[in-house]
Parts: sequence; C-alpha cells; structure tokens
Amino acid sequence: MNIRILSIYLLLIISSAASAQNIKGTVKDVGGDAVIGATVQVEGSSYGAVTDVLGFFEVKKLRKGNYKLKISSVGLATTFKEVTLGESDITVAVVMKEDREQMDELVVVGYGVQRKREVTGAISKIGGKELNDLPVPSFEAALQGKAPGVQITVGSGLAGSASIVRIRGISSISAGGDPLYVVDGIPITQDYFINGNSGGMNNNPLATINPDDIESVEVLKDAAANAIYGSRGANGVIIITTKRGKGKGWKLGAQMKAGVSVPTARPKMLNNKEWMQINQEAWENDGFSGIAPLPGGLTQEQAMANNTNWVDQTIQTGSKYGFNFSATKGGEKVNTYVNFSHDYNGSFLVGNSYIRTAGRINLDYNATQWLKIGINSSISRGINNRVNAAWSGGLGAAMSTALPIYPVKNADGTWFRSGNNPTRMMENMLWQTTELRALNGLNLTLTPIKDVVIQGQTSYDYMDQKDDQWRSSEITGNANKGDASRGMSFVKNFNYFITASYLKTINEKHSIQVLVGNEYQRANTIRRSADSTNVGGLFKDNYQDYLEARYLSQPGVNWGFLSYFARANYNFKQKYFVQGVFRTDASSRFGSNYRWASFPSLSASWILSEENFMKGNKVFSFLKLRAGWGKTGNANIPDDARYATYSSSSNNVTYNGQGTLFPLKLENRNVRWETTNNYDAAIEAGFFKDRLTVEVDVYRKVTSDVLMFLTIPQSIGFSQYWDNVGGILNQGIEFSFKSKNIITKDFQWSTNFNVARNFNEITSIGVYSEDAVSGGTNDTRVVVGQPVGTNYLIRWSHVDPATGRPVYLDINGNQTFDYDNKNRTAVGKIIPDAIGGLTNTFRYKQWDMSVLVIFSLGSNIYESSQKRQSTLVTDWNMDERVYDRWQKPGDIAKYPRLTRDFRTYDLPDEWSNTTLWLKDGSYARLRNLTIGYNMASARCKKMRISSMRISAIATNLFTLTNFDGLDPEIGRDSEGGSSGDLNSSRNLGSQNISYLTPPQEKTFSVQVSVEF
Amino acid sequence: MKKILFIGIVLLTLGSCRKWLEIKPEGTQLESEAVKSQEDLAKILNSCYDASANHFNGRTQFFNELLGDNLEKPQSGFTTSIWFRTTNFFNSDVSGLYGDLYNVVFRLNFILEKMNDGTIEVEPEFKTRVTGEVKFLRAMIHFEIVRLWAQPYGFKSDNSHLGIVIRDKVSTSPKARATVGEVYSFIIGDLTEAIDKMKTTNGNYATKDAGKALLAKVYFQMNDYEKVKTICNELIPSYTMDSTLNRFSNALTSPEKIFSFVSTGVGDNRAATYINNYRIVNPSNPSPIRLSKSLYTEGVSDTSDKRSKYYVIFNPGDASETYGTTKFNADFFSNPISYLTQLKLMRAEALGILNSDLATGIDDVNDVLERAYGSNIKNLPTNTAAGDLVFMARKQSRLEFPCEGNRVQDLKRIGVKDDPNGTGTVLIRGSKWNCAGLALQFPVSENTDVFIFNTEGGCE
Repeated sequence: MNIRILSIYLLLIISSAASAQNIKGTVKDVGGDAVIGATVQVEGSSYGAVTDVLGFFEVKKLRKGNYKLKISSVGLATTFKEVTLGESDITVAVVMKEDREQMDELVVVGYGVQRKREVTGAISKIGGKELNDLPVPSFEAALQGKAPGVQITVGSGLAGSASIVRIRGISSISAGGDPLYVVDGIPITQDYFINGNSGGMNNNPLATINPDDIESVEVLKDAAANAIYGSRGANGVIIITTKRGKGKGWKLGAQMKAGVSVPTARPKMLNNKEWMQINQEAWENDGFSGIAPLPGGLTQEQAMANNTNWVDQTIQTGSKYGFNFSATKGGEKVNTYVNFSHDYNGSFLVGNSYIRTAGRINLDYNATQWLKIGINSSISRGINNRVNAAWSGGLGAAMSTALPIYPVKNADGTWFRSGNNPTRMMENMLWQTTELRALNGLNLTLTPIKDVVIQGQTSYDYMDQKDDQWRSSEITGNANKGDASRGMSFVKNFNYFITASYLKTINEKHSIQVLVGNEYQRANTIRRSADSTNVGGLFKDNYQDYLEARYLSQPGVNWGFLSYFARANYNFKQKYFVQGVFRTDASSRFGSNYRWASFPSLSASWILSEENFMKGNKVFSFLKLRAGWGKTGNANIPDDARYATYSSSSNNVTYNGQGTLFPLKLENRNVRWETTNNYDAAIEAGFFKDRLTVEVDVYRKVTSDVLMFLTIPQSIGFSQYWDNVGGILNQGIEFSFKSKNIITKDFQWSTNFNVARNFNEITSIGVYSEDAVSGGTNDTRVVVGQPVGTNYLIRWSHVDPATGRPVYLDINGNQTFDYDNKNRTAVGKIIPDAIGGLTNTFRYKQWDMSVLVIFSLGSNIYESSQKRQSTLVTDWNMDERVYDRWQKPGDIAKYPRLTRDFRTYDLPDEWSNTTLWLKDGSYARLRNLTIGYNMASARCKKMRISSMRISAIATNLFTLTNFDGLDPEIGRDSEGGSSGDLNSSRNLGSQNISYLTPPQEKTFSVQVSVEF
Repeated sequence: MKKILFIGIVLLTLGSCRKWLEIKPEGTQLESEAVKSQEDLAKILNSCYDASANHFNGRTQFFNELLGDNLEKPQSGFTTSIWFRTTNFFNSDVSGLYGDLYNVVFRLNFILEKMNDGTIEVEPEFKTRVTGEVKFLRAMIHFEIVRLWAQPYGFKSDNSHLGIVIRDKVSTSPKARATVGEVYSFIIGDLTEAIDKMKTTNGNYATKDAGKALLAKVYFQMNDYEKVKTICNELIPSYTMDSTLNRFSNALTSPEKIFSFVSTGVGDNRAATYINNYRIVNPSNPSPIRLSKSLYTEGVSDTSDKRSKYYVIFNPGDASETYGTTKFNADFFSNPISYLTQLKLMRAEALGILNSDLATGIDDVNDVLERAYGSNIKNLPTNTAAGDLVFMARKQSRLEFPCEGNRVQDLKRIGVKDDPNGTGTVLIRGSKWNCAGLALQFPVSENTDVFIFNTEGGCE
C-alpha cells in the first residue's frame, strides 16, 4: 500500500468534518483545444469529475490540503497535477499531450509485433478480457460477433464439440478450410477428425486451450497480414498470445463461476396417441383397412399404455462451474505468470459434460543485456463425458426412431429392446474422451549487435487423446461383464523458428525493419487401439484388463513443413508505410515436382492525419489508407493424397490361403498447392479525438488450383481421388465502428459494431459435374456460379389440394408430379450474405452492463431430418409440424397426405430431398447479456483486495428468426470415412445443415473475480 | 566472438535438411514398393479372386433376386428401392456394388498392363495362364454388370441399346456406355481367349471348364441355344451328379463343381451375404430378408419333394405371415458358382427350345428330379413333348437355384424370346420384362458429358 496515498486518504477522512472548497479547472490539449470527457480523479479518493464540452471541470467539497489530480483521456497521455488547497477554491489549467503509445496499441503479427498504426494488413484484435467475460467451453466461441468478417458457428449443443470458424468466407472445398491457429508462435495441432465423427460429433482441437490464459487474439485476414504464414494462410490465421508477468510485484487473482445450461429450444414430438393416429391415417391413406400394424412387436393395448417422452429422458438442466487462480509478477530481471483453472461444463444432454483442468507457467528472464529467455509451458487435461447425439442416438433418437409407444422398460423390469431405446443405451454405455495437452516453448532473444535482434524458438505441442468406451452385456449380448475399447492418438508436433531482424532509423525520418527467418514443423501422430471382453467398465477404471487387452496398431499421420521467409518494412516520417513479405514453403504432402511454392505480399499505408493539411482538423483525429496484395496457400490434405497405395495380406487379407495385394487408391503425382491471390484496401479513421473510430475494408480473394477430393466415374475402378480443380472467388466489404457515446463521471456508454458482407462463388470445377463433391449426405453440391455449400435440390411447389400429393417443379419451372433428379437446381446456400455483431456497454458508477447481439443474414438452413418428422410415416416419431398436412380433397396444406409408401410422393426411396426442407437461416440473437458490479476501491481496500467484480451472465437468451426448427445456429458434425470427405463435409455442409442436430445451449451464470 | 557465434547459428539453421520432407505415409505400401515382381502380380490376381468372392457371396445374387419375384420387400434401406425398381443415381447400395465390381476390373487391367508394358518381367507360362484368368474374371464381372444395369440382350433386336462402360485397360478418363451388343462381344472375346489360355486344372482357381461354363451362361442369356447345347455337350460328361441336396454344404468337394469360391472358416466366409440375409438364427424369428409368397408356394407345393423341407413359414394366417429358407443356416460356406446342375437344366431348356435330342434333355431334368424326390417316381416320361420339357426345366431352375440370382435373368431371357414386344405375356412380379426399373440406375459418379443414364422410374 502506498503510504502517501494512504495518508492523503486518511487526511480526507479526518478533514471531512471541516469546511469544503472546490478545485476548478480546464483541460486542453497542446493545440489549445478543450479536451472533452477527460476524467479528473483525486488520487486516493473517490472524488472526481469529467470535463464538459469546454474542457471545464470542478471537483467539489474538498478540504484544504495537498492533492494529486490524475487526468486521463483516450488518446492523450495521462497527466498528473499536484494542487495545494487552502481556505478557498482554486483554479488550475491542465495541458495534455498526445499519447502515441496509447493510441497505437501493439498488435501481434507473425514472428513479431507492430504498432497498430504501422500495420499495413487487415488484423482484428480481441483482448483476453472480452473472451473471459463469456462463459464458453472453448475460447473461439467467444470471438463470435467481435471481429468483422469472422464467422463463428458454435458447435451445436454437445459439450466438447468444435465451432466452425470462417474468415472472409471460404476458399477451400476438400482441403481444410479452417484458419491456422498459432499459440505463442506455435502452429498447434488442429485435427478435427482424430475421432472421425463418432457419436455425431467431431473433435475440438481447441477445447483444451484455457481461455483464462489468453492475453489477446489477433485475427489475420488478408495476405499482407498472413502471407508470412504463406502456405497455410489462405483461410486466415488466428494468433493467440498468452498472458505474461508484468507490472511490479506480485498480483494474485481468483475467479469463481457457476451456472446452468438449458437448450435454446425443445423438440415438440408427438405422444403415443398422436403418433398412433398419424400412423393409422397413413395406413388408411395407402388403401389399407383395419388397424395399422405397430413396430416393436407391440399390441395396440400396450402401445396405448406406453407414453414415453424421450426428449425428457435425454435432456436435463446442465450445470457449470469453475475456478481460476493466477499469480503474476513483473520485475527487471524476471517476469512470471502462473495460472491454474478448473472448469466443469455440463451440457443440457443427459450425461454430457466437458471438464478442463489447466495450468500454465510463462517465464521471462532477462539473463544479460543481450540475452532474454522466455518459457511458455502449459498442460491441460480435457475430459469429455460423451453421449450419442444427432444421427447417433440420445436426443437424436428421441427426435426420430425412439417412438413414444416404446417403454423404457418392460413390465418385468427388463429393458425394452424391440425398438430404439436411448435410455437403455445411455444406462448401459460409458464413453469418455480424455485429452492431455502440453504446449511448451523455449524462446531466446539475442541482441548481438546494435539494431539486430535474433530470436529463436523451439516448441513441442504434445497431445494424447484416449477415447474409452464400454458397453454392458445388455448392449453387446455377450454373457459377460461387458466389452471395453480404447482408441488412442498421440500427436507430437515439433516446431522451431529462428528469425533475425534489423531495425534502423535514419535521420528520424526513415525507418527500416528487415526480418528473415527459417521454420520447420514436423508432426507425428501415432494411433493405437485396444479392446477386450469381460471388462466391468472403462479401461481407465479396469487397468488390469487394459493391460491384458488386444492391441492394434493403426496407421499414423506424419507430415512436415520447411519454410524460409523475409519481411521488410519501411516508413517515412511515420506517415508512409510499405511492407513486403516473401515466404517459400515446402510440404511433405506434395511430390518433388510441386513441393516448393512461394507466397509474396506487398502492401502500403498512408496516415493522412499526419500530413500538415490534416493537422488541427476538428473532425478527423486519425485517418489512414492502406492497400495490399499477396498470395497465400493451403496444403491441408491427407499425407498420402498423391500416392497410389497398396495393401497386402499382411493385413490378414488372403484368399484360398494365399497372399493378396491390392490397390487402395489412385495416384496423382501432380497434386499441388491451392493458392489464393488476395487484394485488400481499407480506410481507418478516428473522429473527434477518437471518440468514434471507423474501419472499412474491401477485399477480393481469388483461389485457384482448388484441392478437391473428387467423385470420379466409378467404372474407373475407384470412386474418388485428389486433384487441383477449378477456382473460388470471395469478395466483400467489412465495416466496423467503435463509439464512446456518452462519457460522464458516473455514466458511460460505448458501442462497438461490425458487419461484413461476403460474396462467394465457385468459378470453375473443371470437367466435373455438380456432384463431384458433396457436403455430407445429399445436401450440398459444387455448382459453378454458386457459393461453396450450395443447396442443389428439386424444387417443391405445393401440395395438390385434390389428391394431397406433392407437386414439384421441373427444371423449367413447370409443375409436375414427377420427382426426377434431373430437375435439381441451385436453390440456396449455407453461407450468409452478412454477419456481424453489436456490443453496447454501459457503466453507471460501479455497475456495468454489456449486451452483445450477433446476426447472420441471407443464408439457408436445410433441415434434412424433417422429411421423416413431418411427412413420410416410417419408424420415426414425428413433430407437431405434421399437423399442417393434407387430409381430404380441398385441403390447402403445407405438408402432403400422410403415407408409409414413399412412392406416393413419387420418390425413389425414403431419403429424397426437396426445397420443402430448405428454410430461411437468417437470425439475430442476444448472444450475451452481462451485468457486473465492481466493488468500490475504498471498500476493496478495507477488504485488503485490489479489486472485486461480481457479474451475472446470460447467453443465447433470445433469438429472432423465421426458422421453424430448433435453433438457426447450426454447427453439426462433418460426415465421411476419410479426411477428404470429412473436410468437404465441414466446408460444404457442417453449418446450416441440420440432421437431428441438438440445439445450442442457453446459459445463466454468476462469476466472481477478485484481485489481490 | 559473441557476434560470430550468433551469425554462425543463424547460417547453420538456414541450411535445413531436405530429407526432413521425405515422409512416407504410414500403414500402407506405395505402388513402387509393392508391385515389383511376378509374385506380386500373382498376389494381385489372388486379390481379384478374393474381391470377386466377396462381391459374389450372395450380394450380386441378392440384387438380382430383389428385382425378381423370389423375395419379399426388404424391411428398410436402399434395397427397398431396388425391390420397387425405383433406383436413382443416389442409391448407395447400388453404387457400392457397381464400384466394387469395377474395382476388380481395375486390378485385372492393371495386371495385364504390368505384364505387357515390360516394367515387370514375367515367365511366358505365367503370362499365358494369368492372362486367361484375368480375362475370365473380367468377362464374369462385365457379364454381371451388363445384366443388372442394362436392358437384356435382345431388348432391341440389333442390341444397339445402351449397355455399360467397357473397361479393358487402366484409365482415369470418363467413358461412354457401349451398346449391349458390344458388351456381349467383348465378354465373348475375353472368354474365348480365357478358355484358350487357362489351365485344365488349377486348384481352386478358374480353369478352361470354368470359362466354358460361363460362356454357356452368356449364350444362354443371349437365347443362343445351339451354342449352349454345344458347350454343355462338351462339358457335362466330365462331371457327375451329386446326391447332396444343398450344394452350399459341399461346394468345394462336389463332383458337380466346375468353379466355386473358397471359404476357409467363419472369418473367411465367401457366402456371407447369403447367410446374413437368409439365415434363421432363432426359429421363431424371420430372417432379415424374407422369401416371396410366390416362391414359397411353389417350393412347398409338393411335400414329397425333399427340397420343400428347406422352406419355413412364420406367423401363418396372420397379416405378418412371411417365409424363409433354412438352406443358409450355417456359419460359413464355400460358394458354388458354376456346377453341373446349371448345365443340365440349361441344356434341357435349350434342347427343348431347339426341339432337338429331347431324350438327353429329359434325362437332364430327370437327374435333377431323382435327387429331389429320392427316386424316379416324378421323372418325366421319355415321350415328354419339347414344350413340356422347357416348362419343367424352367420350373426346376426356380426350385434348384432360389436366392442364387438366376430367376430374374431367366425371366428377362424368356421375355426376349417369348414376348419380344413386351405385350405383357411375360411378367416379372407383375411387370413387363422390359420395364425401365428392371435395369438399375447408374451411380451419380458417372455423371459426365459422355455418359447417358438409364431412364428412371418404376415398373407398372
């Protein structure tokens, strides 16, 4: 505690009974203009004021004595003024200088940092606090609505599921379309498909990253920003920087939170009688008489007696809690940051949770004047208690094949087995995915000679994931304790980079910085599996059985990147900035003929507000123009994409007792880099001393040699292979502003808004047809002239009032009863026209409130599962939407006559697709509402703490949408048996394609943060 | 010193090793490592037998039966639309079989390419034998594909109607469908060469006789009964009738065996689809795939016929009455593909149609009847008329080969011959033999500028 401040504080208290005077004054900048909204605070007290439009302030009712005023304002250097107050009021004049340091926050760029004003590329920065305020299971979900052009679709409902992140649209089809994630300089392992799509969910490689550790997230969006990551920058780069020790002395922090999770919507399924009526109606519509047969071997009486609400059986109110302890210490020699967190995230699905326990130590040691050593070390463990969902069961079963006429248990107490019984499955299955993740880096910064800095970093990102399952004898049918299995993946991701930079300023006008570097990354994934029978639970609880299990070795994954890069920056008088970047990359995934590729970038910016003709401008406080061009790439394909590969009888495949040898896939030696040419231009402006800042970006990304895992004529002998085919165009505009609307002493209101419009189009797919790549099960296609993820469907016209049969449209738009796939056409898209977010923050004295609204406009949702929930009567339960059906001649209905025979609708099978299930996917949602109370500093001092904050947070509280399904924000699992299929599915159909997909969660929580 | 050290480190690091990028995929062999010798080609050929054995393990036969009149509609799944004859190009079951069959063709063509382009040195005798077996298997697969995915031979009198893609070499280019006439010419050409080059005895692998038996089936499908007669006359004397009623139980050891796929155990079951579809695990529960009432009725119409004992009825008299067979109640079987009974019934029908050497035809049918009844009590009289002989040969074909996929192709062949204009005198489960849905739709993967799909739509 500062004794001097304490003395002043005590003095104030003691003298409070005496007579009171005022300190009056004006605050002006160096140009003589009044500073509006500057905060004037009497240090060590709760006294203060805010300047008015003339820069005038008045601090009232002070006792005589010595005071220290602290005057602060955005964009200006914080100024202190010592005042001696006697028996009468006094007037002071304060002059505040511009604070370039404050205006120019540091932005992390690849292999370094730059001041924001110097940046010539498109980078959005989100502070760690913004992320921590939102109780999300994985940090990327908290980026939603915060950065223009960054679309986040949160993984639906399931704890531990992955969000889909798209930066400025999507420029890949079968190669990975997600941005590159770099944590403290380490391009981390980000395998979404390490467990395929088991249970209706993909892996979230970001789940074990602790949001509490994050100091800032920088999103690199254009080539000027991400060309330094060359081959892997085409879909953007997200740089995560963790916290480090700073300030002086130890600072301790603790945070506790607790909350609940419920679904944003509940499926409205039919009960037993309702379903039986529907079934009977379909039976009679099909020309049969008598009582319609029932599935599951049930009699009418039994079915009438059973009325199971399977949604209730599979949904719960999930609980959430967590705590976090941190300690930071700054100093001249050593900086330390230590953190420990534990989070329990229970979802609204019965039995489903994600539990993360994480620890981190970041150390900086200034060994000598020329050597600085940095260590980043984190270890975290994520335990995902898994459940089946969507097509795999659980709530998905409750929405489909778990009929309300099925009981959970038979009268004799045994499980009902003659139909889908998700409760039986849940109660007789254990499933846990455990991930251990260690991210470690050692960084040396050397200054061998003046103006030269050499930095070397070596890092090791280790991930150890075990997927444990156990099924009881009830499920397996084997007369034993049950069967256990374990899938294991060990990912060893090694990386080093070394850079040398030279910085020189000549005559205080010319500033030059040159950086050259080399990087190598090598990742090895080892896969194993184990299984055993007669085990009483998960292997982790039956270790002896695990030791005695049968072990199988699965093929691993190995790849490497070797890179050389250089970046040169020049600026003249801090007004004109030019940057050139060159990176050349080699990837093990390509043959020697296409292994190396180069990725250059050139960009420039001009700060007009530094020009004499702009100085003193009353409106513009800052104005910058920037533009850039560059080339980026994508190599995110399987390691063996180019090879013809073989398998042999060593895999126990023999015939007639003799060995076999057979090809697994076709060869394509010419598989090469997918490349994107980026163009970006932007205006950054600050108005009224930066009370309002605005940024407008326009961009154009032209991708060629798009990597596609193509469906080829099967008569060739194989159905798929990799090739570089066609092109994709993304172009758009981003607009954002930050406004400090009201600034008074007691009340402040600020608004942040961003909106981005992206236009996406496939410009070519070579000689192939629309069906060359599909996004999962019959849902989206690649259509020239249409966006990636185009719904390509037969158009539904209406229900014929006379017969109740569906009327379709043929390719010419004429009505027809014929369902013919030749009539498919591009009718919708999963990519929205516009996305954005609006954040309003209000502060009143110690209280604050933050309201984040996100929106997504212009996309479609394909609700693929509704075809069995509202029309064709099968072994599925139906939902209440079925009531808008045709029943008799003359009926005008949304849905056709009920039938159990798909031929009634002229369909070729039970799964056909039409635009009847294509919906408007636009929505706006109250993503976050936070109300916080910050304890007054005086009270904190009494409690011997630095600060304390209590907040109540609600997420996904309210949604505006026309979508009649569960939730318009759909991030489902990607389907497929291979990496190419899974990535195609993720790029073309994981967002906005719903197939029994769980809704998002709505959460309510309370958080307490204390600093010491 | 400090500066020199730092600069040295930088320079050293910049000189990274190129070998760091030579990373071979795990768990697989590259072609350059895997295919280097004659032995490797022999293994690839063995894999063609292996894959064919899996695709003919009742699976290809099932697709045929689904189109015909021997099965009840499956309970669910994409096979229902095969039964309804409404397949479209998204039917994954149909595209699965199509792709699997052509994958074997790719392997076969690859072997031919490697033997002929000089990259792998092979012995002349090896080359001759392997060429013969490759062409035998290639013909067998093309024959099966053209029968399932195209209208039958004779659908148009000049056979100019579209058949299938002929794949006679390794190529990644899309290809147009050949006409049915061209496909049959290709098959006959392959078989002719195969018969010439294959060995007379070849263990469990294909022989000259296997080639001839398949050629007889091809001609039979083409309504070319003279050639059927010639080939059968040549083959039949080499084989003797087997008294075993269920030929699946001794497919390898039967004296009737001409060509069978080999199973060595439960884990190597080359009759898996037969068993998975039709096996009755619990006597009180029907099998996953059930027989049609039509087949059941015909099968049990004469209880003195020992074959009738294989048929089972479930829930008799109830709305859920259904039928099965116990013929496939086993853990595994070897799989008979060509055998004497086929030849005898083909010859009998051919002779009846040709009205030639009826006595031989009557003997052929009687051989089958005597085994079925255990005596000659139901034998055809020696003066049986040609038409009656044809009728009986066809009837016995249905009773002898249920689930083996013959029935629908027999009916199509008969339709071509007896009802060439599709007037409705020859029906297949109530539909004209030449209706559009009786040819499966091709998979969507074939959708290129050069490819013409089948007409979609059911059969009236």
